[in-house]
Amino acid sequence: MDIIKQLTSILDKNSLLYKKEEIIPYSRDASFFKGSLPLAVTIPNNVEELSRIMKLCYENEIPVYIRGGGTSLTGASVPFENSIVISMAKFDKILELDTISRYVVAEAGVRLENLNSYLDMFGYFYPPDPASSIASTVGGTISTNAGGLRAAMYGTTKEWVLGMEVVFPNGEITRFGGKVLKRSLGYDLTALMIGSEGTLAVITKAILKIAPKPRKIGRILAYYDEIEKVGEAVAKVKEEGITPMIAEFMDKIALESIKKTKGISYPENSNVMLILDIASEESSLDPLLERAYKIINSLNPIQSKVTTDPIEMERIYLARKGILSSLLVERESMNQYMIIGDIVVPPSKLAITLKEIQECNKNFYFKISLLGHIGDGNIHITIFTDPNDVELMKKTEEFLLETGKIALKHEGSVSAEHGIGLEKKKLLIEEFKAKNSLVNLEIMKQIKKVFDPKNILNRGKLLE
Amino acid sequence: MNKILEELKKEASKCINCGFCDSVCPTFSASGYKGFISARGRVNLANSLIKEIKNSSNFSLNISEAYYSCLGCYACFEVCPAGVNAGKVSELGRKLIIKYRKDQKKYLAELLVKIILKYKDPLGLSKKCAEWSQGIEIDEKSNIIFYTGHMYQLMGYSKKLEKFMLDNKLIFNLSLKFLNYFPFLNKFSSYFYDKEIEERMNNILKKIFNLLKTCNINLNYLKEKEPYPGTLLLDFGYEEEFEKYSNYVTKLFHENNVETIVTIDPHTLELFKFHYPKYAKDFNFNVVYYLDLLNVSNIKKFDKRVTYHEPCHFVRRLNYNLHLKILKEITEVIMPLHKGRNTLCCGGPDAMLYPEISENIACNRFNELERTGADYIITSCPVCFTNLYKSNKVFDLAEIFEYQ
Repeated sequence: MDIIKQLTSILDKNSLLYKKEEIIPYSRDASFFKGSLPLAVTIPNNVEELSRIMKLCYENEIPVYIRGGGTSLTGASVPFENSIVISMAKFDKILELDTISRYVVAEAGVRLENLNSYLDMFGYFYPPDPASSIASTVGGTISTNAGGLRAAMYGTTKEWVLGMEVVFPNGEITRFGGKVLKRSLGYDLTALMIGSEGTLAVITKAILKIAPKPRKIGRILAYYDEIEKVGEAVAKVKEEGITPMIAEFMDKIALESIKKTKGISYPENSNVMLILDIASEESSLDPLLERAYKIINSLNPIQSKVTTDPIEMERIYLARKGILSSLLVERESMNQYMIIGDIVVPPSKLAITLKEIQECNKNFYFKISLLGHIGDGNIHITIFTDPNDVELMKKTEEFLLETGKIALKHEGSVSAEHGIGLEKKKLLIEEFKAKNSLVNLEIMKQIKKVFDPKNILNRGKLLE
Repeated sequence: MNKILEELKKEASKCINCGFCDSVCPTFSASGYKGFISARGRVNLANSLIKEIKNSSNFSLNISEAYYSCLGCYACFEVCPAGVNAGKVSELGRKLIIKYRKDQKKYLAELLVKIILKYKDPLGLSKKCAEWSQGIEIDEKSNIIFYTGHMYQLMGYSKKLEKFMLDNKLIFNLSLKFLNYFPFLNKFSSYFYDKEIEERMNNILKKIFNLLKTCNINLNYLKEKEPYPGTLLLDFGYEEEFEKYSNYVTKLFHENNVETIVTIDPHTLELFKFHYPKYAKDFNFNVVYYLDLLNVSNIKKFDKRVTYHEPCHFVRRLNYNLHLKILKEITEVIMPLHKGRNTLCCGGPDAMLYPEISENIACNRFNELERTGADYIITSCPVCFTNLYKSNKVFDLAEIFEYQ
């Protein structure tokens, strides 16, 4: 192919892959979507090479798919035919840390866990912590506006990005935002990039806010018979002026899977578990924890406990963070796949939403597990299905659509922290329809045209 | 193909493609982030391979680089939520190559296999491997043998050979093709002999032997009769050859009235514990590791701060960590960032076939160990020692042991 010949003039032979066996791994991400083999995979060494690749693809109108950790759950990074994949893996350096101004500059391919291992040495951390943080990258998590467990207190990625360097489809390099907390410069182009799923420009590095590690954390665990009580408990804690750092829930199937895989038992007659973390200064934690514990107990849990033991806390945190892994044991066959929904509702509507999802499933008969971030109303419906069964997948899509509609009915959203990708394109339209805001879609399309007039970036995703 | 394929399918089909394994796979970053030289890529490739074979009962994909570059460190298995072992996938991939696609084999691997089968040592140096034992007292009547497996001795050669390969790729590959027809010419290997490493290794062997002797253990040693255990045969995927070879070794042990085999490195220990019983008939010996026989409570305190590089084979495959327990008893230990079951590979298994990848991994691990600020870097495997030997701070565990 001519394009490969041209790419060899930009890249060394170790940074350009095009043999079938070399590029097979790039046709998939962590979703059930199977992409196609691209023409070639490029692994640029620096922003100049990246810019030249983009320019070449732009001139030849070749679609480009950007790949970070390849952990998308919505197919956001799978390529289609006759395209070029750009792997951001070599952008793996942490460039600058300023603890006085509280920011870190990291390249797009830095994995979140590596970033936090580094920051930990200085007593700081970067709060967004999706369950995939061991593998997901700075660039990828900005592109999907990832959240995670700590979002209840710290919000999602959008709260933590100060600026970035990007490469436009035509190869031009520019910078958005900066190193300061305040700026008033017209349209916020940094914000526009967050959640844009690689459709506007390629993020090469980012300036990220960091936070000091909480001095002390206390954890409350409570098991209830009814899901409503969990919602009520968290609402009451918040009413008391206490903001939990983490507020998570999981249903009986999830608890059972943790019992099987991690050996953490639960009271047999309970149907839902609440994990509540309170973070504070050393001296003020105990009274806060005590107040929160009192509220939790006022709703008659089947069992409850409070712990500040770091080993026990870590065990529970890892069990929650690794819950999707644990749920794999609940598959009825190796063909089964777990598709993870990602709706969000105002926390006050959580209990009713969960009930309606269960009602809705009575028409579908899926094996599902409900869990998520109760602190911010984000529910992950885990559906056990089979991507190779066409009929079953149609039903799965319908179920996802229905659950999305439930979220919209309660003034929530169809996508909290995983993004749209290929999976939720219909749901995105549903959301704008429900909000009587279809014009938003048109605005987004116009923005896409300004950034990427030839539509070469992540073609077929998000808006198409 | 069915048996290997079935096993491959069983392992690879569990993958949910989350990519967690890629984040810990040492060859991914060390190869310049090539997706097919990483854990997830290897599993992806296996699934494509299975599909291809299902449709055409053969395969056209070239799987050699992906599977021969795998270190078998099993770091991927440790983080996989679905329980996939990409290391095992690679082992099966290599078996497929040797059985069905010999055109994808590695010349160096083929050459080493030929030499092992002929001379019972990867470099045909059985005699040289016994030189360390000059002057030591052996009890020829004892049915407990001190078994070196040639591992420490061979390290005197591996580093220079690796450097030569890195500097003379073309000449080396051409010579390999030629040597495959005339394996007896392997004697050229003495050219790659590193006197310093050899002396160091011989002293370690003497030290371990004497530590055991001090515990009143009567040891026999087979000297030049001692065969190499055949680790590389299995590592390179030569299953049939390994089966024959392991039976030969087992017979030799029986002929010498062996009852207990004292091993001194993790590779041999693992091979005897897990693989010989599967392949060799009547492999009914008591296999022990030397550390388990020492009087550890009698070891002197050590006055330097140390960091310990835990070999993958000990912590992840054998689930063995007595080394660290003893170290903590005798001195201050500062552990590196990657420790315990998350330890990082030294890169050693790739030293022969992928010296550049191996060197990148070794430098990365060495730097991490050095960042601990410890006075000494300790390890307990000759392969790890040789690959990490980048300063005079690096020691084998046995070297710092003294009895009170």
